Amino acid sequence: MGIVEKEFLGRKNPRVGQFKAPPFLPRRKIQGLGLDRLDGERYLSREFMQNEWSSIWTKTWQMVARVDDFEEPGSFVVHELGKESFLFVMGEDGEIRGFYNVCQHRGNRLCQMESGLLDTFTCPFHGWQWNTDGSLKQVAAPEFFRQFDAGVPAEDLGLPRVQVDFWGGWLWFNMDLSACPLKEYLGEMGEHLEVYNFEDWYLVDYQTFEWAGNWKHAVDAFNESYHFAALHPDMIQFGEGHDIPIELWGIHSRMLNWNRTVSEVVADRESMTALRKHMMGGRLRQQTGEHTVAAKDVHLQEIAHRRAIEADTYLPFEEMNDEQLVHQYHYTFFPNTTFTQTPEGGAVFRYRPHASDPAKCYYDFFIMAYLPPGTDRPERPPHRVHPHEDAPDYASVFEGTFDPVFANVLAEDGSNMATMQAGVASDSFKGMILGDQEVRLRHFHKTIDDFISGDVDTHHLLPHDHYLERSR
Amino acid sequence: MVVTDLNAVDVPEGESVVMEVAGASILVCRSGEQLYAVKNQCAHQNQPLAGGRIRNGCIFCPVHGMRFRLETGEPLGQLTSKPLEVLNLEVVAGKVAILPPIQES
Repeated sequence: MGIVEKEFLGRKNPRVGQFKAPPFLPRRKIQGLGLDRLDGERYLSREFMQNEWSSIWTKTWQMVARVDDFEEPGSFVVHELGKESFLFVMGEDGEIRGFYNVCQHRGNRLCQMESGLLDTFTCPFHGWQWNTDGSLKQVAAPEFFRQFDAGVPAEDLGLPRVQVDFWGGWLWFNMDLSACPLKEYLGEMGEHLEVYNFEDWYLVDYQTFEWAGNWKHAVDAFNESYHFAALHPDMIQFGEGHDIPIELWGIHSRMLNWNRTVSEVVADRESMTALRKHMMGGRLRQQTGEHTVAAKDVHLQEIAHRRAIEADTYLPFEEMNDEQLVHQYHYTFFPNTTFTQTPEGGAVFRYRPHASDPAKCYYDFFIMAYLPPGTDRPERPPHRVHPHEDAPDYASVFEGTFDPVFANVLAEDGSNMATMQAGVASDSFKGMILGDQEVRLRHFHKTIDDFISGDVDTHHLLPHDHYLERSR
Repeated sequence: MVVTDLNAVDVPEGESVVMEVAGASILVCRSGEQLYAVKNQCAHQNQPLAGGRIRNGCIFCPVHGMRFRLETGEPLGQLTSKPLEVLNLEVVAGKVAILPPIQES
């Protein structure tokens, strides 16, 4: 048991009861999933990449965009995934639909803007047109096509559909039209997060970083906090990632990171240094009492404070367990979406594979915050994409939307992508040795293997306990 | 300055009116209180802009969706880096007036 965990368990007046998100503590025993080394080949191989495409990317639910990006009929968002591009658009009837973004004439990318507002989608090449419901509007000069002598077969020429669904104020899609519904896919872990009311959150900023490593290196990097002490010396001054609770829920997993305390690996856990004072205040400083305790105990004082005001705030403290009030609930949904948050805000990570190169990926970073009732959604900066070769300065690209201390943490996380990609390709590399604090990685890669082998599929997703039961 | 017959109040919110001014096709657009005049030709593929949706001071070309800021002509999107041609507009005694010179294309 971690020291912060022990301190948390010793808090006064713990709230007991049934919560939508069950607490991590006391810890339940989790499956070890073996001790085998994890091969490096899966990060390098084009064949493995192709298997991921045909068994995972084309079968699983993935997050696209905020639902409130679709303000009116004609609002559209284009989403790129691997070699594909998808067009999501609100029709005249107010329904949001998703299509492969491919001109049915010669295969050109139909819509070449990332988002916007259109009544008709016109291919820039020869001008074939589609309506916002994906139906064919017109073929340019159909008289040139003997195939259409008997009339243009509009129903055959509609844009090919993908499945769409909604959860947490986000639009999701699945290329597999017979995959199970999104809520079933997200399962119990999806239900846990309903208490945060993500529908009422707004997108503060959205930026994409092209990283010179396989997408799984990025998932791995954020799915454990064992690396905090070595990689993030700042972060352990105001949070704890050492020996933290982890749970596996079917094909998804979650972990708890401690906020507003000092890591047990730091010698002085008492002093309120300038960095600690700054980072422990949080976004809701106006709701935060003056902290009069040792730095390591700020979270306990803050939990007591939040309990004291729970009836008077729009934040859903009353429905949350004590862990959730201040600490970081970090949820990763297979294959590529992570939600990590406190009641007032958080981040969403989305990892996307490159179209053809296993040594590249896209890391999409969304900053989210609870929108206080009765306030207008602030306008957000346009989506920015940072190519690897630009070597972006994280603190400056997030100016005004993300604390520079956290921006630096993100830069530290990104710094290992190219070196991990290179390192696992070494002839000398015998495979990764994964510890218990890295069990989410073991579980994630096992899930990948199970999808590729066909042991798991999204038509008949097993309840989480059955899936893990089988893997013992 | 070319004072047109168009009443400023006759350009509804979020819409545009096409005008011939000094031999050129001009689009008069309204976003909120503000009126703008731009050349009725998209900087991306030279198609007419008329009919493009107007929201928050921007126009979306109705053909391929390229977005431009109406005040400056600044392109916002990946299709082109060329700006839209913007003309000076004034309201004179309630009528829309366009300030030449208008470049012949």
